[in-house]
Amino acid sequence: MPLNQGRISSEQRLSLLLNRKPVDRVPFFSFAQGFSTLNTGYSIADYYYNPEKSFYALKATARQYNFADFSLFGYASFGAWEFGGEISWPEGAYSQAPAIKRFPVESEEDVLKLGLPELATAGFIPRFVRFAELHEDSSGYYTLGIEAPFVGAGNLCSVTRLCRWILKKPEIAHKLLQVVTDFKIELIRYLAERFGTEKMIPWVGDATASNVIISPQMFAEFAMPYTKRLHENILSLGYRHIIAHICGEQNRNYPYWAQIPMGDPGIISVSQEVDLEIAMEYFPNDIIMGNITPSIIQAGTAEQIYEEAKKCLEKGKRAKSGYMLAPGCELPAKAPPYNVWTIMRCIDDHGRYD
Amino acid sequence: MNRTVNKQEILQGLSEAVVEMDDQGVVDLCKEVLDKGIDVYTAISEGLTEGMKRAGQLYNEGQYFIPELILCSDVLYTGLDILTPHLRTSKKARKLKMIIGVVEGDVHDIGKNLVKAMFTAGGWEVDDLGSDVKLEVFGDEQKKEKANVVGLSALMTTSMLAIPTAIKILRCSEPVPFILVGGAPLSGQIAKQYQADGYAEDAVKATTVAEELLRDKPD
Repeated sequence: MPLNQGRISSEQRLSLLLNRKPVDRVPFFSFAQGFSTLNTGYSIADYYYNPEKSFYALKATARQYNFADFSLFGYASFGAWEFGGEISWPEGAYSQAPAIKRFPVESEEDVLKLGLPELATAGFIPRFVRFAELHEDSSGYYTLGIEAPFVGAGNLCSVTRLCRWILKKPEIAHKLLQVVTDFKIELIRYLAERFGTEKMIPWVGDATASNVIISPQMFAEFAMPYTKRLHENILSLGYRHIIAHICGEQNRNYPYWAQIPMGDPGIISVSQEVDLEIAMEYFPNDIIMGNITPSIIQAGTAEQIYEEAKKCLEKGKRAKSGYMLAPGCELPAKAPPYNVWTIMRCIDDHGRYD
Repeated sequence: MNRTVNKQEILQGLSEAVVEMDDQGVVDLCKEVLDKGIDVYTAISEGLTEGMKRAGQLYNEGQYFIPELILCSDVLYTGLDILTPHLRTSKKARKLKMIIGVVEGDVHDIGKNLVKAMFTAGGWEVDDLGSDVKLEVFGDEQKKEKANVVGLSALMTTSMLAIPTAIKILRCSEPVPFILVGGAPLSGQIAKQYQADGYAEDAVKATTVAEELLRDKPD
């Protein structure tokens, strides 16, 4: 059964949604990274290693499945390499994303002497630049994963060390968070100066701030103020929207996330551990996005996936400022293609607005 | 009589030191254990272990989070480093054994490290293979160590796919251990689908699941 493409193009639909206009049906933000490069005959590592292949794979896969034309480029461990650490590319049979091999910060002294990296050459940044260049002559929005300061701090010193400092050396944790926030503000300014702010929507994810790891009080002290400062700076540069990927079980952090400006409208990427209705309650003026369980897309039956997508659509369509169906986190790179197609079929069946 | 009261106070103090994340406190109390000739096995099981169990309860109640558990486990290990060399061999030999590791393709090890701490606190001997562990290594290690339980952890949907293969390898090893799995993308349903023996949603529950598996094992 061929999929119905809807009355308007994927790009038009996204543009309408971002301009707070009604759309014909729910768009699907695929969160497809390694899935896209595997889908087009490349490797998962190619998604991260080679912006040209990544650009092609994301566009081609979006066209094939009728995903929203909205390319995501980046990875959660961003920051370690840029500050002088080492990463490994996801080249093994079971790898999904770059992993940190050596942290650039191993002691309190390292924090105190930490300087900002040279943006033009540091780590992954030249790949961000190349990915943005490829979009200059192309239609569609794209998003670069600059990530939140809290996850960034963990990427510099390890989450375990960050946890120890939060309790035993809070001043060191704050110092590190300040430097990481400054770096991200400088990076976003650099990108804005080179590429403008029209087509790029900054991606600010934070998996480390999950309540499986830290308390809401720790979030309020060590995560929220820095993410807020970052978002304020992003918006002051002229970016209209921010995607906040509130990764993992963060139910008790939502009251704090709601104090952070997200744009007009922002896009709230909701993890599967949080009910969409909670997100809708805290973010009535923003687009809600989510939250199919990725492991069900990977390991579930088509019927289970269809039912889960249907439940998301039924809730999400009630969001006051718009809704995008999406996985709660990255689309599993090796998800069975039929399972992914099943999500799009569910949108065909249940995603239309009356 | 004084000695008994003193002993109880020291055991209680050890437990408190773990819960309160008091590294210097545990060092001082462990020295007292040795100076006063208190049975080391008792100091570990009724002092340090008890403290880590209480920390786990506080985590379950939402009062402690991972930073507190990490510091509690630091204190636990500080105490164990001092006391374990003084354990009598006969008591060491009674320990249950676990092999644990994060599977190939994954370096996220906080959960694994906390599972290790909880099992260590529970008196198990834990063979930690680290993270990004090649799947054959689990089988090779099991053949050598003959563990009661093997714990497999994965934090990503791609590395999760390594778990059924690791389980097949372990099922071919001798003796076949109980296989416990955990990590963010996993669930009880997926664990069953992958034919694991048990699934634990967090580090604190992992020891309970393992103990239940061993308890229910037919003679």
